[in-house]
Amino acid sequence: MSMTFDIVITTDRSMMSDHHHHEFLGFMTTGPAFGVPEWLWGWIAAPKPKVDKLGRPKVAPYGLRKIEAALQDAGFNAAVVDPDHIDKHLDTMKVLMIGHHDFFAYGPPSSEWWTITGKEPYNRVSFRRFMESPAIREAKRRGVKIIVGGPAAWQWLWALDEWRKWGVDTVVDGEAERVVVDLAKKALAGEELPDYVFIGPADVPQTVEEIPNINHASVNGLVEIMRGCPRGCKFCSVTLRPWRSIPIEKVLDEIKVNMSEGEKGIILHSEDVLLYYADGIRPRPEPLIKLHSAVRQLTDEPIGWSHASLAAIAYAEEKHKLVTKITDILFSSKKQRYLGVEVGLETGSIKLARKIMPAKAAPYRIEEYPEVVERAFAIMHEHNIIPAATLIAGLPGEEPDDVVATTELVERLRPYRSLIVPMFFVPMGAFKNLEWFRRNSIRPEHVELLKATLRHSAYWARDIVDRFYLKGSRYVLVRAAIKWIVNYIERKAEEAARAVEVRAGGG
Amino acid sequence: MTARGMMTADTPYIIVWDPRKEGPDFVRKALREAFLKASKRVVVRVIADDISYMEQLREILSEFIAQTIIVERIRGSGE
Repeated sequence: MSMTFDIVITTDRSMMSDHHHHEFLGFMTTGPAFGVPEWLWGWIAAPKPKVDKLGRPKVAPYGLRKIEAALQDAGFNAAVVDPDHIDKHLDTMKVLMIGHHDFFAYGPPSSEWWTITGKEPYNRVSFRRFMESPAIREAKRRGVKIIVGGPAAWQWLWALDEWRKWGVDTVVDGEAERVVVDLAKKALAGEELPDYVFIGPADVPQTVEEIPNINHASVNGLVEIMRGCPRGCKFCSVTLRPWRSIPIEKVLDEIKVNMSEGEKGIILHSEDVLLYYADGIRPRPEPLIKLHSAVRQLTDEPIGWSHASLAAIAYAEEKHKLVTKITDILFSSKKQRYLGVEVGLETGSIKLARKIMPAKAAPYRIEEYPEVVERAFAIMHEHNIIPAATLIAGLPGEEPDDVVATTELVERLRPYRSLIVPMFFVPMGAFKNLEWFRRNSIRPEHVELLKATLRHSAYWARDIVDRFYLKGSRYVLVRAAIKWIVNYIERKAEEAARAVEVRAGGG
Repeated sequence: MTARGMMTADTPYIIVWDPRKEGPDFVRKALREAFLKASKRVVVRVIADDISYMEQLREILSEFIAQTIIVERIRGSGE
């Protein structure tokens, strides 16, 4: 292996971090520093990972690892490099590939914090700092081709000034494992690159075998077990992708890569973990028990889920006692006492649910959705599963009674250990005039919803931090900082809500 | 560069767009036609010197998700 690289793959610090081995802390990068100085916020949310002499991080975001694997497997001299070490490769680097979840903080929840606080989120500031750093400017001066991509690729179409100013050559939107190889060939051959590539179904990996396995460790041991989602919610782009489950052997191979490089964590990534090899939208016990048993046999370290749907949780338990069976497997290790997962609650309004996510409650009827949500929360509470639930508010077509129904549902969820975060839909035009957007789009009922979620999440946050999430002496500083922020938010919550109310013209 | 070199196999559907002469609806119509002809890949060749054309194109691009769309520039001819 050469000591420097032709193709360097990277991202800014808000993404290149293990978040103290706690994925949820990474969410703090989507907000501006709140209650503490920015450097401390950055240290809590996104500490620097360890790197080797070449600046290669011990762990890197999974998406970057997939691109690295696709390029390395195709014979390119490519590697993921930490953003602070790009200068080590200036003499050889010909292509710089940059991925991100939220380059410009236009996605949720960053856009929401930005709208509410009026302050640029940490991830946006961090990305700009990175793109304007001396190493990146020097790379561009030397003619390095810059290719950007990842889930937030679309944001570049709304950031033409930055596209021009930073000299981005190509924006790639979609599953890029195949296309990136062609682009790399072109770039290294000095051929003209396209401005933009949207990857349609014909150019995504056609079989799961074609999806390369990662060659190096991913952040917190995240490995995908499924791509796509069959529910077809109107606000979600994942649903546009083909739905594929990844064979168990392939999942285990990637976990072994992580373990071999010292990454102990395991997060099974899927838009809905319980739909792994499901029968349509009905979870099946056999593949899920097989998967969890196999992973538990590999290691006694905690196993996490990325996402699950509330309907699948309710159905899996009510029909097959499957949540009990899976948590029995997971908690058979003394090292695991709880399971964290993100769930999309979205709305408590049946009327709105019918319009924007008619299959969200399936196999139950959409009319039962609020009850399904409550049952799923109760099941999770009983099984030490801690959900971070998101709500979607402010969508076009939403009416005041829809928001009220959601607030009432949030209040009914109070007995169940969880965090609930509202995501306000922020249209692109809003960023040109945030004050106008606040006055015209954030209504009094949104403020009530915001207050209800703040009350709920502040109530449970201390319990979660103390009893589950950040146990042990090595997290004493992080725990103290988080509790300080929670206290601060609680003290400021009513004040903040009033400020939003006043700005929104409701007070 | 051609789209044929960029991807593989199927011949792409080529659209040439001069934003000084035609509005973005021209591209929408052509993309719709490409979709109806079941083209898996479309190349939009834009006669332009920089990416300002994207301001007109971005909304249209978000309407088409069933094909690979490659937007390339025929540089230096947008005088």
